[in-house]
Amino acid sequence: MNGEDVMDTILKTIDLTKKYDGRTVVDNLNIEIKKGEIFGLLGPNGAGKSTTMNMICNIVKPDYGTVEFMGKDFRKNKKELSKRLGYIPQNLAIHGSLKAWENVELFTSLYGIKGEELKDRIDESLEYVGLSERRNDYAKNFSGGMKRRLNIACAIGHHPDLLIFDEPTVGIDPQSRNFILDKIKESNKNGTTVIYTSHYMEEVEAICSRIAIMDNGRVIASGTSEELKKLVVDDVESITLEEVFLTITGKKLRDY
Amino acid sequence: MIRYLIKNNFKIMMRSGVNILLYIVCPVLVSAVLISAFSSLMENYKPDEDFMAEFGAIETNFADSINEDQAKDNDQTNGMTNSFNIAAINIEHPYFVPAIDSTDYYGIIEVVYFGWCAIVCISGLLSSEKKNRINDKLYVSNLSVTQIYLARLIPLSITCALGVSIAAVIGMVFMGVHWGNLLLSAIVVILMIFAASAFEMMLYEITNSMLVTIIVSFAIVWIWGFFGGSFETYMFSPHSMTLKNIDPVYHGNRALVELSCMGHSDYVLSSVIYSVIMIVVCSLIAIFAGNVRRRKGA
Repeated sequence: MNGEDVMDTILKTIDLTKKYDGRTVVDNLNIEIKKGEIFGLLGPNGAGKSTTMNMICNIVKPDYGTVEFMGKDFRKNKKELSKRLGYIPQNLAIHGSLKAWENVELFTSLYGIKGEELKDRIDESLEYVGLSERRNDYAKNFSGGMKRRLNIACAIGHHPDLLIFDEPTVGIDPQSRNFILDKIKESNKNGTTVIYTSHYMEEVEAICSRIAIMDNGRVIASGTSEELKKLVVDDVESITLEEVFLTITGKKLRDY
Repeated sequence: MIRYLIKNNFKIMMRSGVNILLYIVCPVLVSAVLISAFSSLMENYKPDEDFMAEFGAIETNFADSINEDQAKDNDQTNGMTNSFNIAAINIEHPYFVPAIDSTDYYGIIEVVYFGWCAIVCISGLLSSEKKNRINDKLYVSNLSVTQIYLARLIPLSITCALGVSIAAVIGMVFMGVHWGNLLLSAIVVILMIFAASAFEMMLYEITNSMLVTIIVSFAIVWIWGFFGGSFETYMFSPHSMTLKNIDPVYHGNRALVELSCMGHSDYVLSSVIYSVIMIVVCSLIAIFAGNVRRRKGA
């Protein structure tokens, strides 16, 4: 690996492995995410996507393997590197009994931002997700889409270099989904690298520059949308990403 | 780094209606009921007039040590003499150890007892954190288990202390409860609340279940209260001193009751030491349990 490669790669997993109760959930996973891309991670339920995200974010310790972030071992440089990462979990990680601005304050302050700078970041984050006018409302009174947007606002206030979205559009209306996808593309244009997981294939196809399909804890296919389609048929116009996904991972139900 | 986390956790707890019920309504109601129920039983005995005290004494002497007159008046058996004397003295300005009445006793004890139920105060926050997996986001930001623990313990203790203080003021103003030495009482109460918070947070970190924590902590606190004088006064209770001495509630209760009626108490020191030990030991165990869970990725 030369110096240019190191600069290009923002995140890399090396032989990442995790077992739960003897079952291998993530199996020697090697993925590499380039700076400035939107990387989509697809997979059926139980494929290991969320566990992979949790290991990347240092929520779960891998049994084996490492995560390199900004060219450094993430676990060994957590203090320095965690400020460069933003995580938008699948769950709405907000407090209903706090106002919108208070939620953003709480999570942004965790990265050492305080005082006037913190106030500016709160305004900026709420503006970014279109919740400025509802800043003084309690989160419990928000609709599902507004809660999703607030969830995003809570993760971007510290200006991370890498944003990880774990199914951020589950259970929301098309308008909110469209808004969130636009904002992800906007963040990416501003230089933020994005890792995006979803079950909605059309979303992934619309925003991701590169896609990896996971199953049984391994990446079984990766590339651009066209490259993935070409794995199945030559005429990429004749097939959707969902059909590719079902062809590669199979149609058997996954009951985990 | 955790200043804002403490502040917002505090806001969440303060906005819970359960806390108003637990720390203000419940103690005031319970103490009012107990005060009226036990008022006649615990009526003060405070004789403030001089009185005569009479007492008798039997003197036993060997025969060779008595004189002839005494020997005539007293019974002699086997060379021994028993004499019976009656004396009376006038007790002026009698001093009694002040007794506490039911208003002061239950007005203090019940307010403090509810302070031991601290976990309810934070149950909403912890449930929200667990349900929404907020801990994951705290871990992503590289917050340590110790920081997360402190960001819960500090606002929890402050919220409880505030609730107890409001209930205490209501008791003082509307029921005439006397706390005696306010400064020492405040120290004892605040440390007890920190100890209760640390103890119950430890139970939560170990069980990782709010329901189990509430059941177990309420059961333990009830037992402590039972032996410690929270229901039956510790002065009249027949329980052994050994049980009372290992009971943190007893030390706190006794210190506060004696501070109220005498202005000083030997139990202040033991209560403070008990509370500090509980805070340190329970916090260490809680942080250890939290670290174990985090390592497991639970």
